[in-house]
Amino acid sequence: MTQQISFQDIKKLSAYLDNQLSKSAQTRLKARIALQPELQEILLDMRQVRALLRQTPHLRVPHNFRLTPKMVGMRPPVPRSVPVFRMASLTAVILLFLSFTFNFLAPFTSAPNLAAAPQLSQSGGGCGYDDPADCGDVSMEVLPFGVGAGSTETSTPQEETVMSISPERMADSTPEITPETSQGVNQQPTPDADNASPDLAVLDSPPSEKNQPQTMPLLNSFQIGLILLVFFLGSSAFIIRQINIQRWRKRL
Amino acid sequence: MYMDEQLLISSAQKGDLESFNTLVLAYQENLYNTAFRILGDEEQAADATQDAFISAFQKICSFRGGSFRSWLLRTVTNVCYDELRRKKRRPTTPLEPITSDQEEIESPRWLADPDLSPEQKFEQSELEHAIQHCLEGLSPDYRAVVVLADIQGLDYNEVSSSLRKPLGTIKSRLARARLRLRECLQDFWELLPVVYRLDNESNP
Repeated sequence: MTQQISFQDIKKLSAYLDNQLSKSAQTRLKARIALQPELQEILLDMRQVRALLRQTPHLRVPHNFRLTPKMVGMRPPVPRSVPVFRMASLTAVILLFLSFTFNFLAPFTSAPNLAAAPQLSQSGGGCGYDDPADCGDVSMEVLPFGVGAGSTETSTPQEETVMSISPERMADSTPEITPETSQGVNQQPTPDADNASPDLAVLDSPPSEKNQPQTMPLLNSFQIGLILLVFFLGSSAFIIRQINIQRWRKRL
Repeated sequence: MYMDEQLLISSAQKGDLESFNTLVLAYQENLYNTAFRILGDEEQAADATQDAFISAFQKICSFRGGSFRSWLLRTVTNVCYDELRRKKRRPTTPLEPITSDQEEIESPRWLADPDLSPEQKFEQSELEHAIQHCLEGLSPDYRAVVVLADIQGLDYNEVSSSLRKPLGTIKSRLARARLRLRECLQDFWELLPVVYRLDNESNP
């Protein structure tokens, strides 16, 4: 009596070859092998194949596969002080940048404010532009821009609007301001206008000189201090890091 | 050795590269031979082995005990699978040296062993060629099982762990692979040296 050889039988033979069958299964298979020469033949062939594979010589490795820190992307540990230095340096750089920006923008922001001040007080005070008497205590001295400078050209009212407070009133420290002229903005300058009042003397000099911003030095002490701080902190972080890298490499 | 290995693994898990390199030296031959049997090319096997060790070091924290060799072999097998997939997508023609008769010149690796006589070298070369040819005829899944079980000598559990496949699958694949190798090697049987004909091998 012979049984057909199935893949399950082949699988059992393979497992039998590797002692992976249970005792009972092994006994049953042994009995079948004894009865079936086909099974014996397959078992023999499989054993030869396995022996061949096991006897294949191991190749020598062409080189050692030791890993280097570079291969695995290892970096030396960063000392704790380095991030602190870096952050402080970055903060100093930001402050330096802000200070430079402020210095750069300061002339542009101050000049328009000076020019706009009379307009704001005019409208804010509730005065009618054509009738300064409506302003009550608030005195607006509306003069042509070119008064005292010998200018004869007629300027627009907005350009001619200049507010002045007489020195006597300033000394009194009372905010009372009186209208010194109520002739309206379209009053043409007269040749004797230069001597009209002390208030007008203030306006003798051209407004461009009065409003000229103070010239600032290229670097103030705060900025110089910041630059030194940035340099110190940055170089400290760099030096600490380099020393640490040297030590790390020596250790490896 | 086992305790040493555990210590080395623990150190490597803490980032100690020297400890890992000690493990590399212990297992590099296993990994390289496995890669070579799966890929069939020395250069690619060397690259795969190096990649596997790099990958193993980077993922060593995920090693949770068990057989470290199986874990490493799993890594190299995965790298080999990736390489085989890449080769399948972009097939290349190997630049094998050939004679004027268009026959391949023997690879010099088989002639490198000074201890073997020319006859032995020839026999070994024939055997190697036959086995490698038949191994390459198997699909990668079967090839990996037979390489790990029969060439590297891993037991079924280790193979199962290395390939992350159930034990039944491993048994089944191994049986099928052996059957196919048997059929393939029959074509080369006459070429194989007599010393490798193991008719009288005792039962297991």
